[in-house]
Amino acid sequence: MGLDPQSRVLIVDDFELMRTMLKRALGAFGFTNFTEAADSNVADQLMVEATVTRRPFSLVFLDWNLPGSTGYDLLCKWRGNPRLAELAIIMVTSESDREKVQAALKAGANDYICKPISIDKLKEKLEAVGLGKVRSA
Amino acid sequence: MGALKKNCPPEFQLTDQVATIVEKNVRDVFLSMFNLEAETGKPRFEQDHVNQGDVSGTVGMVQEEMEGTLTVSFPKRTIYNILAQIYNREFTSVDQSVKEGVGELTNVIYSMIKRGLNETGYDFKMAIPDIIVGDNHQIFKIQTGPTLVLPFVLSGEAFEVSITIRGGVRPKNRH
Repeated sequence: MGLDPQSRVLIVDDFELMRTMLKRALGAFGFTNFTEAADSNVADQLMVEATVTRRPFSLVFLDWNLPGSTGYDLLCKWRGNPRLAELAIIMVTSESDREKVQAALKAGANDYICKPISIDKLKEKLEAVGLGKVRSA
Repeated sequence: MGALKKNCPPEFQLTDQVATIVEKNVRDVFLSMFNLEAETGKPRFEQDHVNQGDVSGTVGMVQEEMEGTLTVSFPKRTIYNILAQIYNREFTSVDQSVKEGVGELTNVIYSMIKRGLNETGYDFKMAIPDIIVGDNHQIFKIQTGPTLVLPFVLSGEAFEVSITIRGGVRPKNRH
């Protein structure tokens, strides 16, 4: 997939704490180009803008539980759009229910990460979605 | 986790095993999220516990035939110090970031404890936490029951996690 640490990253989570922590953690791997959304409507709008302006996101961390439609709904919508075929999506949730993991992967999520997100867990997931060797934290 | 399921208690009770699961997962949350080692005090069991703190998160522990509450209570100084490490700014009041921070911490702590308990055969579901704000507030339960109280110290500052139950059920995998 060839993701690069300079790629645009969209972080979708209704909690500022989690967005901030994820940015810090990703910063340890060299990522600097973040965009945040606190709900699914804003996230979807940002995704449309990114596509229209040809400044696409490469990686999305998508919280399952969001105000309004869920992260899973958004995942299904984006995966139905062929223009987002290259987008890597990692679902984030505080639950580890097997059914949810399977549903997310079946719907096209590249991977799945449970809160709390540790540096080690994040590194593993980044490599899984195609970063290969990332700069050490 | 089959071996654990065989050793499940017949009802959900506030046992030393539950205390160990709570302690381990609270410590794991702070280590994973903040790289902070939480020291644990001695767990205690109380009949009419009243939670006290400046900012608390409380969430219903939902499972068939059982009602329970998980509460995480922070003095202001403790939560200010924790969040200052993430946001790189000083906190002097309980603003939206503090309220949301306690809400998300409560959410993650409950999800980890839920996972630990469910591995022993229970079937707790996720629920949405509420936040209580007020200097040295007290939280009284309408239907009091036994409470497991776990005191913690984080970077020299105290906070408390407690579970109060109002009923008991058999684990789902127990025959």
